[in-house]
Amino acid sequence: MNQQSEREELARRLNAAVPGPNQDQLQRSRSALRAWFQEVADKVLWTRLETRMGPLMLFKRAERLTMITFGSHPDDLEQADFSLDLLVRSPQNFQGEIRQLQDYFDGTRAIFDLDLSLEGMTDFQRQVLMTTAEIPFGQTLSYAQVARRIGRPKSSRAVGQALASNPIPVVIPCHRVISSSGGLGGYAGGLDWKRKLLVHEGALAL
Amino acid sequence: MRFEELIDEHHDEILRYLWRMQSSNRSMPGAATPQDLTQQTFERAYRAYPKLRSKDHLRAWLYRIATNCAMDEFRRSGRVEEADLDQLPRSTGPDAERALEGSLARIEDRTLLQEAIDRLPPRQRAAVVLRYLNELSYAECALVLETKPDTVRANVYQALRRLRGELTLKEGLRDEPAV
Repeated sequence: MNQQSEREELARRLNAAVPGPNQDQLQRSRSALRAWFQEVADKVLWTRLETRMGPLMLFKRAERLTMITFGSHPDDLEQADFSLDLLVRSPQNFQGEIRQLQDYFDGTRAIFDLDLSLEGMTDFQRQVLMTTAEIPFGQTLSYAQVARRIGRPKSSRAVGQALASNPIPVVIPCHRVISSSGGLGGYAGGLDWKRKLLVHEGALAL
Repeated sequence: MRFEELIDEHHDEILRYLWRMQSSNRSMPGAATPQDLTQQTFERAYRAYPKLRSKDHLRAWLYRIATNCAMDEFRRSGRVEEADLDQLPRSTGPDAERALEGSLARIEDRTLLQEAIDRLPPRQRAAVVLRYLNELSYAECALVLETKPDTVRANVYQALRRLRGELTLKEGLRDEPAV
């Protein structure tokens, strides 16, 4: 026997001497563990929404929209997002959100009326996001203008960072904040999304 | 990675590991079953997960928690760790390991082998199970056992030497004609 096959043979014999669980035992333990997890984890509902600009995922905690991300599968989530939560796919819980977003993408809605949750955000981030939420459809502000509106005229960089952490893009229209030089600035979903949203709203020429 | 994915991805191998760490006292009354220890492992992991700074070695991290659960259970059931294993003699090289693997690969009697594995000091047993049965690399084993890869290698070598020592003796005796 060569070295590799001797090692495999040894592993085979060790396995016969101290065998692992069978399929049934594995299955039962897995179910028990999942049952425990469903008990302890916070439940987050989610659904997918296909839009003509690309796929979105919507997440809801305790009846409130808590996050929108660009992408189509929870595996695409950032590492820290919902890391301890139980994700339950449940399109029927998003009827209002889906209708309003579809209307928006169809061009028949300019204002969202949805329950949002900004849990875990600092006061500064909230202030920036709430101010941004007031920018009307089709208009833009610069990072510096937002900074002035919240009374922190020197904080345009921090405003940019707060907007980058916007958990509910599109609905909280951080795409309407652009660079004072006329450039687009940044966007968590990629500049392509930002450009399409601004063109859609007529705030940017094709 | 979300904790839920961690469960789906690693539950099976953690249960297999703890199962193989436990064969001797599984039937003892009051002893934690491998399922109990698997549950404990994930409960501890769930509490520690938010504070875990680097998520680079999640598999080894889970195995490390599982190992701690198994060791706690060994202690609870009165099995104590033997002398500091780092002080034990090391392999004289790959040839010696190969020779050991070769002679152990010819052991026929699985009951004798099981009893000998049950008598291994817990850390040696962990090293053998991780390396040969759960197929972790020496680098991963070292992360699990919180030591250096060389020390794991030494633990494995010691364990195999010990198994061979016991088994050749016993198998030899058994082969003797009954008087």
